[in-house]
Amino acid sequence: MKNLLLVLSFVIAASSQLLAQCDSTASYAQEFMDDNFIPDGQSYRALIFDDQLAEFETTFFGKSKYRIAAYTGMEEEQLIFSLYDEENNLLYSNEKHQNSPYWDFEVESTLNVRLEARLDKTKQSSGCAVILIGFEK
Amino acid sequence: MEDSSKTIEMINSRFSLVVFFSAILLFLLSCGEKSIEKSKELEAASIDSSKSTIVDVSGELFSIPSPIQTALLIKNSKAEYRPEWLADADNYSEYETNTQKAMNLGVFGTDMAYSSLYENGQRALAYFKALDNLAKDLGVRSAISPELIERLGANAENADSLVYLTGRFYEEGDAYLKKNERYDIASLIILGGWVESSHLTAQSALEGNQEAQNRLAQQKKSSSTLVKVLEKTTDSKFKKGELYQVMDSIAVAYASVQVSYSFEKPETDPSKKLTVLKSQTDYQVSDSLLQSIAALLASARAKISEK
Repeated sequence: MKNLLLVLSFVIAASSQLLAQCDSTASYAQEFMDDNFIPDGQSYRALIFDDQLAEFETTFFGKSKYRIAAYTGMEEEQLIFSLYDEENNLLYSNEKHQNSPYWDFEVESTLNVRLEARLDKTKQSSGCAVILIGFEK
Repeated sequence: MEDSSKTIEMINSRFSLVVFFSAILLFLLSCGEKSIEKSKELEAASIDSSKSTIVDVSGELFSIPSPIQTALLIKNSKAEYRPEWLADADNYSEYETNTQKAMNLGVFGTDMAYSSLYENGQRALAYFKALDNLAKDLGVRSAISPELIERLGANAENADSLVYLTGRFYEEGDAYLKKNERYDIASLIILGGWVESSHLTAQSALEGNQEAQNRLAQQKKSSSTLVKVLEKTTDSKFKKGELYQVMDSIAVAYASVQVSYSFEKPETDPSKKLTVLKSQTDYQVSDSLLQSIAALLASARAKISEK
């Protein structure tokens, strides 16, 4: 019982630390979202470990330009993010571009996409992944 | 995509606590010396890494396109400014419940951006005041940086700055709400923004604006995502209410929008950190379906604005 309480206290303290890390990570990610890109107004944050994926789906509207910034921890290039279409075709992955922390997308025609993010296990085994999406006016 | 959503739902509903705690323990281990071997107990508790899983701060990640982007489309389509379509900013003081306040926080932000884009600074400022008060009531305002609030108020007549700052305002608010596990409020704000921007699009579409018609059809995916998000709300009163039913009806109506997609290989220019997505999607929506969706959106909007 004593051990359980000890572990629980440890877990609570650690989760607070992780959440605090999310805020710091978000501010690093924000640096890649310059003023030309209007934030989409949502916060995409996930605690991921080892092989886990953080993923979500969204719609990219045609004749628009988007920027995705993706960051984990306190250093660049530790998060791999990939974009797929509804047929699971890979549209882009930053893994082929030194895990670039941001990338721009010009969208010719509206399409639904799935964004996946995972850690580069050679650099990080756990962390808070933060993804930001902005669109150009 | 449906399979992956089911996987996430399953993990969130059945294993989230186990996964969360075991993941925290794994994280702690990783912070320590790498050479420390995991105990057998920890290994037993760790997740199956062969599966794609997600442990996140906010339960499940979802994304709804920005209502500001839709307001921009209406402006760029050369449609006239239509203040009669907008919400009454003076109503903010009459919203009593957090549900009403959250939804109308989304509505007012959309109307503020829309008005500012049409250079109606006075009206944009009125929406800013309403938005600011609702954010205070919901306990969100204290999480927004004071500088951002000040800049928002000062830039009501400067559309370029205002739309950017509005996006930052919602992003900071959303992060704060999710960090504090106030997912229902975060979802309702997004709901209000989506309904308002879709309602404005629908009204413009009904007047023959082709770009608005296309954009309205392109909200098909968002309508179903929103319903999934609302299904997760713990607000039982909201789930028994008419608005919840109307949102479901909107998603059902959208299911009849015909979509055809053809994949084209994207082109990437690493020197510009740019990828051009060249795939093509065609949306087909009949006039009668468009009218049905517009009527349902008007109904949803009326329910959100009810005092």
